[in-house]
Amino acid sequence: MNLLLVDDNKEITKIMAKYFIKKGHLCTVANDGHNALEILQGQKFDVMLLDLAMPEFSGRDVVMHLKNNGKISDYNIVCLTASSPSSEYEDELKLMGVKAILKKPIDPDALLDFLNQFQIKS
Amino acid sequence: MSVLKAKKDVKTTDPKYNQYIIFSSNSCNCGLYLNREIALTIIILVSTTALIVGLLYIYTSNEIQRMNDEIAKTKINEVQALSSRFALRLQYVTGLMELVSQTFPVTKPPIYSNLISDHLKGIPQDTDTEKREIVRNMFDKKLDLEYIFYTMPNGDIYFLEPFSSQVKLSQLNFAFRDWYLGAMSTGSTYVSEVYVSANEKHNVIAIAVPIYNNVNQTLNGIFVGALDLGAVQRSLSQIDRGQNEYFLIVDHNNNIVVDSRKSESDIEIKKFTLDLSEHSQGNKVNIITKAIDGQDNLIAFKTISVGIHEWTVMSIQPHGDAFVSSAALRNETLGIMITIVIITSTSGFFMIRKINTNLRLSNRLKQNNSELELKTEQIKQIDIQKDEFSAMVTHELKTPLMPILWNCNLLKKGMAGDLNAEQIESILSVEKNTKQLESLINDIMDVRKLELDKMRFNLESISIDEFFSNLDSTYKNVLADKGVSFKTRYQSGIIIYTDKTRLRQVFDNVIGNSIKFVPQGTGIIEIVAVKKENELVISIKDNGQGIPLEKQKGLFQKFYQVDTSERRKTGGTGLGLAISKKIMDKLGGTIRLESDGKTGTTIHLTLQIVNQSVKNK
Repeated sequence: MNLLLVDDNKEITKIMAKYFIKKGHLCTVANDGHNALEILQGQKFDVMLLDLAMPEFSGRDVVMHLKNNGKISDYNIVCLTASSPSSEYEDELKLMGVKAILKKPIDPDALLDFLNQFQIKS
Repeated sequence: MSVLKAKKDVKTTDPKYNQYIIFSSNSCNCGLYLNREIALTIIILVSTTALIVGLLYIYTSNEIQRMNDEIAKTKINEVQALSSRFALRLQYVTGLMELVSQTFPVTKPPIYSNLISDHLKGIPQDTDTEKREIVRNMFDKKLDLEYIFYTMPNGDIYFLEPFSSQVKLSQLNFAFRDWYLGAMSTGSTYVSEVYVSANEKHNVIAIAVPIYNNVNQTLNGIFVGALDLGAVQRSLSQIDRGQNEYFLIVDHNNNIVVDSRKSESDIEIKKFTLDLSEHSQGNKVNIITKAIDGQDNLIAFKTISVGIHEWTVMSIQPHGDAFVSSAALRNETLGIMITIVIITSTSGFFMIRKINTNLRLSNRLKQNNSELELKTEQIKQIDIQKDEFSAMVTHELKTPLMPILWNCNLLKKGMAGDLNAEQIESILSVEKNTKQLESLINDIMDVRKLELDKMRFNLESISIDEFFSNLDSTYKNVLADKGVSFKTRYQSGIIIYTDKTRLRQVFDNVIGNSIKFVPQGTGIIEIVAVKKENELVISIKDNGQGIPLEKQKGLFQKFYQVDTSERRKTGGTGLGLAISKKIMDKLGGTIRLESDGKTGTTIHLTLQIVNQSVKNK
């Protein structure tokens, strides 16, 4: 799979990329929302793993931006968050087009297992 | 966070806000809140009082005027009556004198005048008895004539009746008298001024009628009657008088003819000193106010014709006494006005004081309220900050966990190179401890959320079959490997409305505790769920060592663990049961522990089973 990993914490993106690559997947890393949007314009990904709590431009801002541009359906977005958001918040994101919202920390194998369903069959 | 911060700044540093508080506390110290309400009250009170007093004044003034007019009218009537009476009396006597003077034998000339002796002061008693007889008869007619006499044209007394008075006369000739001079000069009936009678007993006025010879119009003599004014005075004295009121009759020479104050023995003739001529208005009764001996008096007077002269009949009364009733009314009114003013000002004073107090209290209340609002806002802000702080802290605490756990995963799976057994053991230790840390952070978050009532529950309809089959799949095989038997028994088809995740959390916690304390190899954990009326009753039973009775009390409280040594041995934060209890409370259920301290522990849970209609909420 071609994965886009978005998180402002470089430690997390580093270890996630390492793991997924070791498992044989392609990874692109972005450490802020604007960067992520730029990258999305140029490439196609199976899944974007999007951290919600980012300073300045949050994961939610990214989702909103994509929705306003009408591009949201082009992407499989899975959000990660360390806090426990309200169900209204989760529902709102899902309504906007997010496929799932998972809690950090998450077991790497479990995550990979979950992400496999989004693999675009060529 | 930044937006909230700005709001906080505005609240505390807003000068207008602070200014209000300072202003209030300053005003508190001074006496009166000169604010609209008090000013309005004062205005209303003052204007109402002024209105009442004004109306009272107007009414009373009218009343007093009316009373004064009444008094004046009464006086006028009095004086009118008095003067009429006196005039009539005079007319009557005068008329009678004139009548007699025209009757025979009075018309006969005094033929016995040669018999006049100085010794007898006239003719002897038995002389000219014709005339004497007529005169004597007049005394019966109640004319109040003291004596009646006949004089010669030269003024000598011819005769006087009663004869006893004739001999007591002081002299024979009375040509000096006012009546003589008047009668002689006018040639007709003349009424004299008042003078003391010849016997010095009374004040008299003389009515002198000249008698002429029918034939040649020469004067025969003068027929005179002396009117005893004492009698007049007596009758006058009987008239109702006001306080200190007296009547006077004053003749043409300003002699006081009659004075109602005078006793009969007082025969001194006094002069009337006031000049009323300028106020006289013809034939009407006049009323004026004049000062006598420095005191104002009300004088009502009328001029009457007496012969050719004009006399004055008057009533004099000190002004105060004349108008005593209206003065009393004025004083009463004044008293009432003063009372009204006192009442209104006293009640006004208390009213204003009350208003003032109320205002002060309400201001203080307002002040307290605004202070309270401020404090509340501050507390809210602190609360929000605490909330955000703890949220931030837990968030930050969780952040490193993922890199740690993922690196451990990588390492233990050999994805970063092969590891020997010892290295793998180390990694596993790191992983285990990190997972414990994660567990602790989650527990702290949960406790905090439950305390702040911030834990959000997603309530939905849950099938007990599904819930328990999930439990089975999680625990059955894993525990079997450890030699612990995990059994579930439940009634099929029960649906409950609750938070799946949180309920699972409770079960995980209880089962987790049981796992810690059951014996290895022979451990038994048994879960039974039955429906009792509209409740789902669940029991989670283990065959561990149980918890002794004395240690059961505080189990559901925070951080409580049976034994501190246990804690160190088995791990755990001690928050589990507290969280479980709080969650059960919030889900509308109960949790209870039962243990004999030897054979095991049973945790009893209850949950409401809701009917179909509620399910669809």
